[in-house]
Amino acid sequence: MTGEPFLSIRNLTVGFGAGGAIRAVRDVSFDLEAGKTLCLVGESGSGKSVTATSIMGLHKPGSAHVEAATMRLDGINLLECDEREMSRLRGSLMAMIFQDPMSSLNPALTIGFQLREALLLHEKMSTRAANARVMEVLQRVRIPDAARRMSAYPHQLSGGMRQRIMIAMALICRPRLLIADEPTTALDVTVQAQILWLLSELQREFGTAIIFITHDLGVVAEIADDVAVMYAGSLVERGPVHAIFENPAHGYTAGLLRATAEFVPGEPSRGRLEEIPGNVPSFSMLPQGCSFVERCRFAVDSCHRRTPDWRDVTFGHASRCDQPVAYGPTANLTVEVSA
Amino acid sequence: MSNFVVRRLLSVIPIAFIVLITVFLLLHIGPGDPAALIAGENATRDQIEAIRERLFLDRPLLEQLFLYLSNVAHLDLGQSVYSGFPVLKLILQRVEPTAVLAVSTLILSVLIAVPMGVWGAWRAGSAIDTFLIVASVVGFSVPVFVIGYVLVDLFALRAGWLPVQGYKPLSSGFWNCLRSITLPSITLSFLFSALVARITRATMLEVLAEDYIRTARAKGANNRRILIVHALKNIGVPVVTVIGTSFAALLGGVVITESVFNIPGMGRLTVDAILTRDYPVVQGVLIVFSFVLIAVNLLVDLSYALFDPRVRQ
Repeated sequence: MTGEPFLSIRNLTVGFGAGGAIRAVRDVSFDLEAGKTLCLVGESGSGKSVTATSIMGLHKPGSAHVEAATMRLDGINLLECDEREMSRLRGSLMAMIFQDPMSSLNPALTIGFQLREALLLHEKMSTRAANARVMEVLQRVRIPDAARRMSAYPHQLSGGMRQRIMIAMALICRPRLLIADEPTTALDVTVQAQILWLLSELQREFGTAIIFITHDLGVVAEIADDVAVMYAGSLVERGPVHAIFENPAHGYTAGLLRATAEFVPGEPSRGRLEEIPGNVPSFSMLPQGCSFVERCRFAVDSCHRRTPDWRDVTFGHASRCDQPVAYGPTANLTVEVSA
Repeated sequence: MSNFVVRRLLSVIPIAFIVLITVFLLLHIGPGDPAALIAGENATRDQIEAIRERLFLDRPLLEQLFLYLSNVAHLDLGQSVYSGFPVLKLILQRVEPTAVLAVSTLILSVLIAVPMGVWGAWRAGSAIDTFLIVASVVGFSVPVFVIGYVLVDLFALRAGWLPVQGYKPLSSGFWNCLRSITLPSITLSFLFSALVARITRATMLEVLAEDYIRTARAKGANNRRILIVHALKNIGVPVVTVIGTSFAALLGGVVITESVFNIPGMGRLTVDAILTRDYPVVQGVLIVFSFVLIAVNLLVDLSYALFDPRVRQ
């Protein structure tokens, strides 16, 4: 075991359009240890999905300009991999599940075929042996009546069932990194909880590292080890989940927490939710200085002048804000830190 | 599944009746006395009355309709006014060249158009894609007779590889027949494959942007596998649909192509019948063409079940 983290991203920048002029992700760096869960948090359009898609190398060929100082996964330099090597890693070393399980499954192919394919693309075995593995993984994700579902088509299953199929498909080759891009957003709340529970159970069993993309801080509190907050294409704060929730050190994180509802049975509601004023600036019209300056309640003159550098708050907790003490303990949510 | 097939088969019956009634009424909708129209300009009064009686045109309209439907049900499409031969016999004599031409054009067009559309979509925006778009606009725009005469000039007159015109029946040997039908098929497939290629390309572009294609890539499937396994089955329904609906345009093209290449088929029969005002023949030809179209569209509908599991329920 070397000292190298399992996944290491340094200075990831992704541009779209002519010459990559529209930079949807700027200078993003983070590490992830094996078996841990990192939550990427932020509003729609903040660059969470683009970051994840870049790790998987799933941008349409020629559409995105991906640059980074480092992008290493399990000792492999992803920046040096060509399309062939990437497709060998995709599905085996790293896998991804998506927001909408209906549109993410091929409507014309059976569940059994799609699951078997995920396996046979990476492992040589007979159809019979593959079917046995598919049955096993279907039971693992608690699909009732798995044998019959093999010959079913996606439209014959419920939303929660489809997302279980997606999870089964992602995990069938036991990848060491799973990227989950808002996997519960399109599902009912009760189904959401089941899916989250299933993911963390499978993570414990297989030791999978998870990058979980969400804008739901309730979900973050459930599953995260570490949190990275994105705003307008950049990371603005990162650290262990309890540190971020109890002591947010960036105006945006603090705003997100204040805008999150929590309902505890038997307790009175904690008052009105606060919204973050204004909108996310477009990538071509970022303000001078801190990108959040125009919406920040605590902005001072210097915030308009220079882009803040990373600043350590406590060990492992850093933010890109020059006023990190201003926000106070605003945590609206109770964090259950699992031992 | 079988429920779907039965439902679709039953829906053919009312369509067939509508076609038959429309064809019957055509003679009566037009201005003037149908008997006089059939008899021609120089006919005497007696001749017109004779025709009226022979074709039962003096009976009430409803009775005429029932007579007509009952005759059609007994495969009696009437006699040619011009030659006196039974219409059915005339049509059966002419069916083979037209069927051979239509089927060979269909096969040739699909073989050209589907790969062309898929390739264009896969390389969307490239020089090849642009070339394919231009080619299909040209194929779609240039009239069939222009393409026909240019091809005849190049490959028959100058190169001498293929016959200039005429048709060799299947009974004269498969290769003989194929040789005689090659230039007409190529001519006609310009129009047809342009239509199919455009729809194939547009549908393929849509499918390639679907989430499940991204899922397939995330699994580690390579480009070829994505195209063949994940995309092709999903473009089936729109592509087969356009093949079915533009089959009518193909039959229209058959009429012109047969004239250009002097092929004694249904198209020529139609043109001749219209020019000589041989109404029973025109009606018979219309019925046959309509029924062929109904059958093609029925096949198209049934094929949906093959491509899309959601239709099967």
